[in-house]
Amino acid sequence: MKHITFLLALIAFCVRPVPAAQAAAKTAAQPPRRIISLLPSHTEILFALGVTGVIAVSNFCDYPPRKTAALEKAGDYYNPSIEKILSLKPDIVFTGNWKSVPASGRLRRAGINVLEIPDADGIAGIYENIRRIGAATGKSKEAANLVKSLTAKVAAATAKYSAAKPRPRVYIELDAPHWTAGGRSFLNETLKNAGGENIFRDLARPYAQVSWETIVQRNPDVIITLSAAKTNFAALPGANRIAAVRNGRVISSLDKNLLTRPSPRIHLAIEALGQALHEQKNRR
Amino acid sequence: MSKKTAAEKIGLFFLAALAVGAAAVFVGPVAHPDAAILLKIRLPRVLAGLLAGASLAGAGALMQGVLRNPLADPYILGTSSGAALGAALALLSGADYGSPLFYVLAACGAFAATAASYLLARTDNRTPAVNLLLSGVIVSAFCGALILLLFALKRDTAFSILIFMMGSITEASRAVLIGAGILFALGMGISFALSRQLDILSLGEEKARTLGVNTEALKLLAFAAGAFLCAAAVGVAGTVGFVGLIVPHVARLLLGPAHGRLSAGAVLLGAAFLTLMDAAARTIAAPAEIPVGVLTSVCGAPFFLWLLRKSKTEYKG
Amino acid sequence: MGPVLKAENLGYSYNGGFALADVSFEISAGEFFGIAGPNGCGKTTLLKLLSGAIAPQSGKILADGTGMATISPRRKAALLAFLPAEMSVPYDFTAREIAVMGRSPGLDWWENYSQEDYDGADGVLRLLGLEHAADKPVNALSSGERRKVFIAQALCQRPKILLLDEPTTHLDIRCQLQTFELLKDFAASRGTAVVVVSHDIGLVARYCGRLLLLKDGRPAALGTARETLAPANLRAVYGVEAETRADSEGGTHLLIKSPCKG
Repeated sequence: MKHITFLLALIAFCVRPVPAAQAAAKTAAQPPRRIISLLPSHTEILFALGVTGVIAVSNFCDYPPRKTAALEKAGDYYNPSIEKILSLKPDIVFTGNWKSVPASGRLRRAGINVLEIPDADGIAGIYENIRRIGAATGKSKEAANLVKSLTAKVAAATAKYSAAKPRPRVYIELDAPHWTAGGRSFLNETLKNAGGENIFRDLARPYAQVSWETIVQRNPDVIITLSAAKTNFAALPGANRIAAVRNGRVISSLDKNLLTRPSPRIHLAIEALGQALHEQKNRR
Repeated sequence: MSKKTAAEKIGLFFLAALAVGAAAVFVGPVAHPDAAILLKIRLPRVLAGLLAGASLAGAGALMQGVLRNPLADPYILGTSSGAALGAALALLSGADYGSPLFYVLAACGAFAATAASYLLARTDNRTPAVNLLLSGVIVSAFCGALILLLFALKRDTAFSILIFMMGSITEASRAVLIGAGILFALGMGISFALSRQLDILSLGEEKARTLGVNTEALKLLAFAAGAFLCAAAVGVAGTVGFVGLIVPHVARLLLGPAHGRLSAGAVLLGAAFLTLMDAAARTIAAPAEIPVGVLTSVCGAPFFLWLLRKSKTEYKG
Repeated sequence: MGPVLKAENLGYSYNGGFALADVSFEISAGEFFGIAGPNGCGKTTLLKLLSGAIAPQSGKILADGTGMATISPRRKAALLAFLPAEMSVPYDFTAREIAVMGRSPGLDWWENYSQEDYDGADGVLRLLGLEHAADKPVNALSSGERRKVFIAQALCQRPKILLLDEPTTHLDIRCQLQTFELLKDFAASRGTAVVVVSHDIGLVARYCGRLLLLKDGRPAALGTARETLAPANLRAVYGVEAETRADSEGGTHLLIKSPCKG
């Protein structure tokens, strides 16, 4: 009998009221006036929806450039400055759904209203996030409009490039040495819409390192390198067997943030990729 | 053990290294590679693995001998942090990942860290082992802090540095392989020449001096050789852990503590071990690749457990 | 032929305090010389000075006629062998491998031990009764045997002077006697000057030809065992009532009666 009581007390002690419900209740009443966003894609959505009242963002948030530059910075997403966030007295903080980073828990324990919105893993996910953020900030109508216009723009861009012939086989290097995006990645979908074929779409993980010999064997037509630490592909052994190297189609000029961030600029990403793959030959 | 038995064992290790190297050329994520892939891509990578494994094991044997400590590894004087710092600076200055400049700076970082640890430990023209261990920790921490600072300044190269620090054997150009080979030959040449005196040093510096050993010159040469070997390894494999720690131990168990034999065995076993690990690293999760340092660490932890249990029972007995 | 080891007015002080002053003596080839005194009298410091590990602040030491300060490390290693009180070996070298290290001072840096060197080491091990242990790791031997292995190593150096710091600590009585007998034998048969520091006055009295008695860093007595271990000296230096007796063969034995009163 004693054991059961103890167990019940323990369970009661451990179970806490669900904060999301609280947060939802709060925003339903009054749209938040002081907003902090810790994820770059969320920041872009907030500004695209015309939300005023964003008072701080993370160090990584860089779009729209002038507006974010003028804002307070609340730290990196993996280690936000709890004190800074507290001192700014936000009504709501938007974070991602990060299992390995205890940021949300820490913020909640400090009494801050946190809304976790996972990073979109596909274009449909972006629309979902736009709706969620719209609902949380009282901009549901704007969100619906944004989704409608984005859907159209994405469809247009996709129509323009996805059926373009020839359909180049592409190797994308996200980080040196040889870290690429697999089949389940966001970038893979963007590439498909832009009329390209990811040579590593059979890779289960969204993000993994591959061997150079596999790249050589799969012989991509185009190499897109988004890594800040550049690899000099032409200098690697066996590089002249790769069509991309032989034909000078190694593209290093694309914006990594634009292509890898699931943001409302997704149509621009498809455009940029599509252009690079189909309209600009021999561009370095 | 007699000279003959030792020679036989070392001969066996040589054959093993050769066999592993040859077999590894045929192992990889591409199922039916043609001759060009085998010769141009696989073979240099296998050579890089053999060289890095040999260098690390040789450096580990040196450090364990000169510091009289079986827990010493080749990075104990801050060498790995220094190399990573050099690599980070190379990337920051715009060099390509894996370019000769990249590796040269990494090697320089390794040297600089070793030199800094040595000079820091020097008091009254002597460098006591305790001071060296401490200064190694300090230099490591300092380089580590600088690397973090660089991460903050240029966030986007952080991940590439992390991979370098984990250790991964990517394709090395001929120039880098030759450079590493020269450093290896230099380092091991010095190591073998110092064999007899390193054995005497294990009796303690005071006693070694009474046997005519110039302990300060010996330490300086040993650290220089260790730095050469680390630079050679770092140049082709990043800072791979555990090889330099585990392999000399195993070689000591099989060949005894005399430095000459120990080094010869360690170098061959290290070459075989790392090549094996790398073959697994590029094949197990194909087409994805696991950084080889992850695999060596996975092997290292159980080895340490075993070592700990073995030393516990010896202590009791 | 002059003395093989000569100390003149040696003086030494540590940062903390004073250790030695006015120490002078001469040791000839083939002598078995003892240095004795109570704890803290400066015996170990004196031995370190004699081995050249530290330099005296006043006075000088002449080894085989040459000033210690000017002898090259290589010549010193060929001339002098030193056995510290404690020896620890982190790795499992065999007794033979340890013994043959004594031959190292005679080799150039590119040379390695020859078969002759190994045979010589084996011979010395046999002499010390250690032939069964030649291939065993030295850490697996008993402390007495381990001590003997290091004596073997010192002997392989074929030095003119052999310095030992407390060679019989932790040894059982038979081992202690055997060790001192061995050392006396060496001195006599090989002409080595053997200098031993020991707090065991009984052993020193029994085996050493001459001895130096130290008290508080200063020489209290120098001479044969019978001379130096006179009751008055023993009273003054050790604070005990004791005397030495001679046996029929002329050997000196120490007889301890009681601690001094007061």
